[in-house]
Amino acid sequence: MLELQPKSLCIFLLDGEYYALSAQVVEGIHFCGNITYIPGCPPYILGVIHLKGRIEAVLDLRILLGKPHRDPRERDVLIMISQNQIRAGLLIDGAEDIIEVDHKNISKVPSRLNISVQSIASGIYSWKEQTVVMLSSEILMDKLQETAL
Amino acid sequence: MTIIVFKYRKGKMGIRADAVDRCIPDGTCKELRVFDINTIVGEVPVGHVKSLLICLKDRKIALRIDELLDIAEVEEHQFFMLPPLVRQHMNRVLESRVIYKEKEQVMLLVDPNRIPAR
Repeated sequence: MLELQPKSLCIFLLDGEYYALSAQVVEGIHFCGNITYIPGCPPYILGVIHLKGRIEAVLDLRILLGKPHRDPRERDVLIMISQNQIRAGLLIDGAEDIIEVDHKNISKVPSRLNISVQSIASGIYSWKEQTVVMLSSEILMDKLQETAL
Repeated sequence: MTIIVFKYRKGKMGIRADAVDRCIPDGTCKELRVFDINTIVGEVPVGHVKSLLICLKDRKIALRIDELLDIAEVEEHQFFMLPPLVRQHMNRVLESRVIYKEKEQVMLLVDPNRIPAR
């Protein structure tokens, strides 16, 4: 089932695959710099950074999508999202584009995707002959809150 | 506030100086119960290069650290709260606030009151 569709998408690259989040929840895109590791946190919390006067959590999107972890690099990119009063930075390889959504380009999430991706994906978007997995920031944040319990 | 800064993994960690009695070389005091910094934050113990004991004031407890880096003065505006997502998960021996100084890495703080007495 497709959830309420976003009006615009922020498309980004991770491990050679295209993903997208609703541009409405994206607060900014930054180089991540030096991440401070926090003992005791689950593996998907890589640590924290200082960004524009705040301390922000840096999350490993690879782990959340069921991919193998790789150590962050200083030139990695952080996509800051805010949803339901939770803010976090997702580590990605690079931001690609922000586009207006053409709803005829959206299709359902295929079952061939791995379970972790399926559980966060809200649809598939066709963009420049590429397949973009649309991620639901709402589901993502709900998952993070669940694991905090 | 004065902070005793020590090496932790690839970064730095600190502890309030007002909770510290003195810093002594490791192995020079048998009367203290020693807790390794890695163990109290829930990590696997690793060998230290320049091991030192931070003796806590009014408690027969010491914290074994890897290397003393600095004794730093920190202003109130350099303290920041960790985000809720991190506070929910992190080890409770750490303070929920951290120190950030311009162009430096965020520094975690050990809460001296949460270092176990036994």
